[in-house]
Amino acid sequence: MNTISIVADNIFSPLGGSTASNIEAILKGDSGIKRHAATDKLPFDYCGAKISDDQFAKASEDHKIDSSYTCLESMCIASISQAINETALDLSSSEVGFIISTTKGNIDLLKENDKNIKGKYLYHFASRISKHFNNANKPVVISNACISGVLAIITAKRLLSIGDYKHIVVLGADLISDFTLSGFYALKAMSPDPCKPFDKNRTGINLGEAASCIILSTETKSELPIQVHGGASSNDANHISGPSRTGAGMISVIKSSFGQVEGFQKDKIDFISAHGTGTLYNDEMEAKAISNFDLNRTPINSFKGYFGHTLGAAGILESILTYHSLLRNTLFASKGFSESGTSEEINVLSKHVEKENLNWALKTASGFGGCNAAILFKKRNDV
Amino acid sequence: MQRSCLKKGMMFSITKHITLRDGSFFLNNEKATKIEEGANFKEISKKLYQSLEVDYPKFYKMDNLSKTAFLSSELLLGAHTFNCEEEKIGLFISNKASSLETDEAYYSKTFGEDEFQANPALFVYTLPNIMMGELCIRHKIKGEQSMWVSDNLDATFVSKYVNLLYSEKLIESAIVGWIDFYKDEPEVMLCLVENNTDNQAIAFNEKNLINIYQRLKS
Amino acid sequence: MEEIIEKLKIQLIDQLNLEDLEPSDLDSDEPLFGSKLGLDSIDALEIIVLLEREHGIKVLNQEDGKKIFKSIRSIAEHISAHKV
Repeated sequence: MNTISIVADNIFSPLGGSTASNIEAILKGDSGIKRHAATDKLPFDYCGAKISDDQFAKASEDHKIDSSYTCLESMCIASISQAINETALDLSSSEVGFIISTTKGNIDLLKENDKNIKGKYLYHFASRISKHFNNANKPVVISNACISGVLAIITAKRLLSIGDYKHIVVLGADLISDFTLSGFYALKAMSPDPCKPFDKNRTGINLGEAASCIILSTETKSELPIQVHGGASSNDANHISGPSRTGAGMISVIKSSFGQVEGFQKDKIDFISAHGTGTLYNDEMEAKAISNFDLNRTPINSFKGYFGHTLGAAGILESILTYHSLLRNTLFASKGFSESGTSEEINVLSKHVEKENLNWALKTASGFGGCNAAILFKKRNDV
Repeated sequence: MQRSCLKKGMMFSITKHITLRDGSFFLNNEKATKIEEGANFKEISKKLYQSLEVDYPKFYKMDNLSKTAFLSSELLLGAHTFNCEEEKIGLFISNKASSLETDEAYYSKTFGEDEFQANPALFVYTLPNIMMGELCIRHKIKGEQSMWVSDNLDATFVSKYVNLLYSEKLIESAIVGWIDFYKDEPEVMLCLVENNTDNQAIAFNEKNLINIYQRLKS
Repeated sequence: MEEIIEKLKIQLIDQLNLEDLEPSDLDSDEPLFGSKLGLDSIDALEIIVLLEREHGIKVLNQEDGKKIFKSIRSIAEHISAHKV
C-alpha cells in the first residue's frame, strides 16, 4: 500500500473558521458549548455548540457562497475552500475524489414538508458540494452514525490505495437541529450542563455543529508531515443504541489497526483521542477497551468538551486535532474532566501538556447501531 | 483459534443473492416468496414475518427499513452458517433515501401535534445504519462495515472496496447490497459473498453486481 | 387497582410494540425487565413517555424508572399514588 499523507485540513466550528483559530481557542481553554433556554418548540434547556448567524454570513461572504446553498452546504463549502487556500490543488481534476460523512444532512429541511424534496437526500447534498468545486466524480457518502467521520478517513485511505484517485477530500458535517436535540433528549442521553467526558460526575452528551475536512493524498510531499495507518470498523452485535459492556467491538478495531502496521508495538502509542461522549456507558466502555491493551498510562482525551458531539463531523474534526497534537508536541486537555469516573483507570489529560517526541496517535469512535472504528496517525520524522 | 478459509483455488464469490421486485422475493433468480397484500407495510411485513416462523419479537419494534432488512436477510441466509470468524464477516449496504422514511415519521410525531412528544424508540431508527445493527445482532456479524448513500448502487466503488478488504484479509465473507424504503416502497438486492471453490459460483465483481442490481430496476 | 393494571397492559402492548401478545399473556407481578419479554433500556424510556402522556406522571431519570418499573403492578401502584 502507498503511504497516505495529508495535504491540508480545516475545522469550521463555533470556535472559528480555520484549524489554526480552533487550536488557538482550545489553547485558551475556550469552548463552543453554551447554555440554551427552553423554547416552545424544544421545551427543555440544553447545552450545545452552535455556529452563530454572523459566522455563517461572514463565511458566505468570504468564500462567495450564494444564498441558494443551505446552512449545511455553506459551511461545507467554506471548510473546503479554506483548506485548499494554501494549496495548489485543483479540485476539479478527475484525480480528486470526494468522501462525505454526515448523519443527518440537511435535516432542517424536514420542516419544509414537501418543498425541496431533493435537498433532503444525502446524496443530493453531497453532489452539491463536489459540483461546487467542478468535480465530476461521484462523491462517496457515508452515513454510519457517529463513526462516519473516522470511517470516511479509513475509506479514503483504502480508495487511495486502489489507485483511482491521487487525492481525496474527506469532509464531515452535521447541524445541531431540533430533530437531533429532541431525539437525544428523549433518550435521556443529553447533559443539561457542559459535558464531562470520563469524569465521575458525567451526565451525558452535548450536541454541536461543525464542518471539517482533511485532504488525503498519495503524494508524500506536503506541508503536514502526517501519515495515516491502520484503520478498521466493526460491530458489537449487541444492542442498537448502547455500546457493548465489554468493549469487544472497540477492542477489535484497535487490534486490527495495530495488526495492519508491520512490527507495531502498542507502547508506541503516545496519545489516544477517544470518542469520549460523556455518557456513562460510552466512556466506561472505552476505558475498558483501552485497558485491554494495557494503555492505561497513555495520555488520553476527548475533544467533545470544546465542540460537543458533532456527529458526522466529529471523527474528522477530532482527527485533525489529534495529529496537530503530534505536530505541535502538545497534548490538549480533556475539557470538562476533573475526577476519574471509569472502573478502569485511564490517564485522562486534565490540562494542556507540552511533550517532546510525540509520534503515534490512536483515534477511536463508536456509534449507534453498535459500530466502532479506529485509525492511527504518525508524524513523519524525515522532514 | 479459528481456521482460516483462504485456501488455494478459492474465489470470493456470490453464493446466494436475493432481490425484491414485482411483489416477490427472488432467491438466485427463482421466485421464492410472494408478498401477501395488506393495507400497509406494517401488515404486509407482519404476514411475511409470521410465515417465516422465526421467534424474534424484536421485529415488531423495528422501523420499516429495518423490517425490510430483517426479512430480506432471513430469506437470503435461511439456516446458513458462516464458515469464518464473526469478526471476519463484513456488511456493506447502500441506499438512496437513508432513513428519510423514519425521519419524517419521527419529525411529524414529535413536532406535528400541539404538544412536543419525542419517542426514543422511533428516534433510534433515524439513522440508516441501524438496520445494519439489527442484522449484526441477528446474524452475529462483527466485522468491517459501511453504510453508503447514493442515487443508485455504485457497483464500481462497492466491488473495488469490498474486494480490497478481502485481498487485505480484513474480511472472509460479506453481505453486500442495497436496502431502501421510502414512501411505502421497499427495494432490496442482497448478495452473500464467500470463499468458494465451486466453478459455477458467480465471481464478486462489478459486472456481476450490476447484473443482479439491474434486475431490481427492470 | 385491577382496572388500572388492565388498562396499563393494553397501553404497554401498544407503546412497546408487543405485537403478538394479549393482555392475558402479561403477568402483573412478574419482573418486567430481565424476563422473557426481552425489554431493554429503550423500552424503559418508552414507558417513561407513556406515563407522562397517558397519566401525567414525570419520571425524571432511568434510576427512578428502575424502581418503579419492577412489575406491571408496581407501575400501576405508582400511577395510583401519583395520579394528577
